[in-house]
Amino acid sequence: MPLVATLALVALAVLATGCGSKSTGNTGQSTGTPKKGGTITLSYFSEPSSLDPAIAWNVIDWSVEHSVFQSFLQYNPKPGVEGTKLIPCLAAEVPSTQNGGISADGLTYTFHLKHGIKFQPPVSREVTAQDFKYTIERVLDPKTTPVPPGQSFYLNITGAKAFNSGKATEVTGITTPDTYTVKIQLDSPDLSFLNAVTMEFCDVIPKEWVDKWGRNIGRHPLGTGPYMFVSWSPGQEIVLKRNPNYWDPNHVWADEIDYMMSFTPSTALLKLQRGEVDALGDNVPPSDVVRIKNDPTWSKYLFSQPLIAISYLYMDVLSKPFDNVKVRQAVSWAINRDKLVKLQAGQAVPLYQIYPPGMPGYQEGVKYYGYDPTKAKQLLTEAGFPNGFKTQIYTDNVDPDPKLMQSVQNDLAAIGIQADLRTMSNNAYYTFQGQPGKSTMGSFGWWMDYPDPSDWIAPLFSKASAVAGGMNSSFWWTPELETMYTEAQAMTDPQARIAKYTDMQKYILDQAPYATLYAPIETTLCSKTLGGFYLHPVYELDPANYWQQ
Amino acid sequence: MAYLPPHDMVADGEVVDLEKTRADWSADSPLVEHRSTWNEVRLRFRKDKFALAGLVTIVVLVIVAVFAKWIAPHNPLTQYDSGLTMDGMPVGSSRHFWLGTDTLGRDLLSRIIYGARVSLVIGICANGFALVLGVIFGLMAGFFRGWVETLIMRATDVMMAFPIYLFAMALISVLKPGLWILVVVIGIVYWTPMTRVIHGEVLSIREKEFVDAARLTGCTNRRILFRHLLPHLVAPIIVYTSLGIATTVLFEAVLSYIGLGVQPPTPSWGQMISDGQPYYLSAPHLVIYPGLAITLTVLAFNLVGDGLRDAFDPQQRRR
Repeated sequence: MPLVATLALVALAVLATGCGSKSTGNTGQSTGTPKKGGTITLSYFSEPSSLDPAIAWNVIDWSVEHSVFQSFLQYNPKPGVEGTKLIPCLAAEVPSTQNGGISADGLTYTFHLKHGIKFQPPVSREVTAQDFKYTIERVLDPKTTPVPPGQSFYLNITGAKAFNSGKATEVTGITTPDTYTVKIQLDSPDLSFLNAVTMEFCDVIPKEWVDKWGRNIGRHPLGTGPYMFVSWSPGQEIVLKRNPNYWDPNHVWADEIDYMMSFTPSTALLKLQRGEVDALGDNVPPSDVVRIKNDPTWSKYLFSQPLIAISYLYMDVLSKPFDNVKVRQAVSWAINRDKLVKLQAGQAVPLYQIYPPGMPGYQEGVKYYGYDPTKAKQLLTEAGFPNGFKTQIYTDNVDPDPKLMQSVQNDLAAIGIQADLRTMSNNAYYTFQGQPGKSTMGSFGWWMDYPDPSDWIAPLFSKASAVAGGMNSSFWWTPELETMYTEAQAMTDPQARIAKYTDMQKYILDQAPYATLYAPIETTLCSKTLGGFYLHPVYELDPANYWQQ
Repeated sequence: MAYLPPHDMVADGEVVDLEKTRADWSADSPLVEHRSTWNEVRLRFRKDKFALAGLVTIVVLVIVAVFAKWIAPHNPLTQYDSGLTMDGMPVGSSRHFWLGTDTLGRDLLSRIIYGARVSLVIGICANGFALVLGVIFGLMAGFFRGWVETLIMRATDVMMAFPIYLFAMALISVLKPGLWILVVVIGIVYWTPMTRVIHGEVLSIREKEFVDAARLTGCTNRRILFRHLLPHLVAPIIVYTSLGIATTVLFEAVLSYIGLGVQPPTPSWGQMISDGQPYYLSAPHLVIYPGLAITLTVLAFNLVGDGLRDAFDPQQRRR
């Protein structure tokens, strides 16, 4: 999912100490006893663009949605590798070939729903299989506005393409043999399908509620999760409170969750140290990392984890002169990635591939491009720009992105590219980068939705996502890559499939639609009173599983 | 030539000897030296220590801004590797970087010196633009009266009721931020105080006899406005201009601070404070020095403006 400015908290390896326990560097969660009651406060600088599960795809959007909505399955609420396993949520069990949930040919998935799951008030009725059919069809429905960005994950369902292009009135591949059973038929096998339906796009939502609110549904989320939506003051805060209809009330701790949305990362840090904020959605800013590390009171509440995420500079191939591959390659050679890491106080790893370390498909010890201004100038001359050219770089206004882009701007100026730096708010930028031909170059980020390279290729480099509102910010795609992707997705041998994805990386980097920059290392702080704190590898902060001591 | 002594020095009935020259009279009577307005003003200004200090500061500032290329020890845009510590933090004062470096390893002193250019250019030009608008509107409102005056003065009231920073922000977000856009926007937002002052002055002057005399001799309105009225307005214009520059310099700093001023990497004091703010606990020099620069500049213009106002006012008691 997009990583626009907010470095969410994703932990690949282990390391989560519950705040409140006296030791650091331990594996696992806090050993304190969960307590009911109290309010948990999280701080972000940006606010969600929408809380409509079909539409929202930004880190902060999903962070809030995760407490309010649920789907068939969820990821195990544990840190580290344990957290990447799927467990049942609204479904009674995870479909597999052993239990018959996945047919032998890998084409049919059967989900048996739990009985008695109720939607939050005021809908308050039981969830049925029909609700899931409605939810998934809504993502594919051509009438849904704005266009849901995650459609490409579900076009493999039988009948989905016909429905999406308006030729059919329903997705024939999704059937509901009885009130509590959902059957999904695929056109070809897909090893990542269970991950795809666990994305927040498939969070079950009631039809009557969507019809009631129409286009404003993004401001009135209602699902089956442990917390229900209370209010959203734009630019200020979102308040959630305990869901009285929740099906597992004994495992819900705090009474209220507050998302504060106006504090810059430095302000949020100061508020956390004063006890007004419990967790930082935006990381400890590089300006304070060194100070906190050396502070004896707070250093034990500091966590640091490499993230399966990438930060990159996209180049819009619809804007000249970035339609010229040599220009794009020149940019990839011009940037000093080590300096970007240094400017973040070492809280990042320079990135020379599309896949970050930890993502299957990553090639250990392989470097595509590097920092070679001479080579970059030479490529620019070959492209027909011996004296460089003028252009713009866009980014959001959350620290440290403007600072990092000034360093990139400086590197480009050294090879003759004069770039004006333009900053804007997170939400404005999120919309802006999705418009073809508008921006020239910009900084963007991608976060893991699930640990499989298909989560990288389809949203970032496919034809389906090279549309307005899509995540393919360079609007670059080729028929060759489309073919490679379809072949890889149909493969049933995991090793061969990953090898194919590595080939795709080589192909993409040769065309250089993005100049990869760095893979962030999450560095965060939690408050002294927060219990059960841990970093989840796929979700961000998981406040539904924390408590106030 | 003949010297006519002042009226109260001659007794009733005394015959005045026109052959006496001034030198002769000065032996008997104290010589009252006639001073022109400008000499008067200059003398009184020179006596005001604070105003002089302000003037000196402004002169230094202008020299620094104009000769920045020769005065600044480094290029303000160069990001030095030695300008950052191992952890990527800015370095403090050293032999190489007299005031330290900023968050990207650029020399802070050079950036402050070049920042003076931005602040002064915008401050002076924006104020000049506001001045022109203000004088024109004030003259028209005061001289023509009637519906013209009503229209202009009510428009002024509306503008003054507007929160000017919000209005400037709204304007700039529609246009793209840049040096000359800033000048225009600040000018548009800031013409109101001058209009009010000029309007008041014109109202008091237009009833004087010389205006009637000019009209009777057939002067056009334009001639009366520019040839007869305007020279009397020079005093308030000068005073309010210098005070106004202080405000516009601060205005520019605020707009840069919120990101709507000149764009990086061009240095601007307000923007430097904004960039350095997250570091105020770890590297406070990033905020302190640009802040001092803004404070001194605004203070200097304020002192000069106050000094000029005191100097022009004939009833002002000396401090």
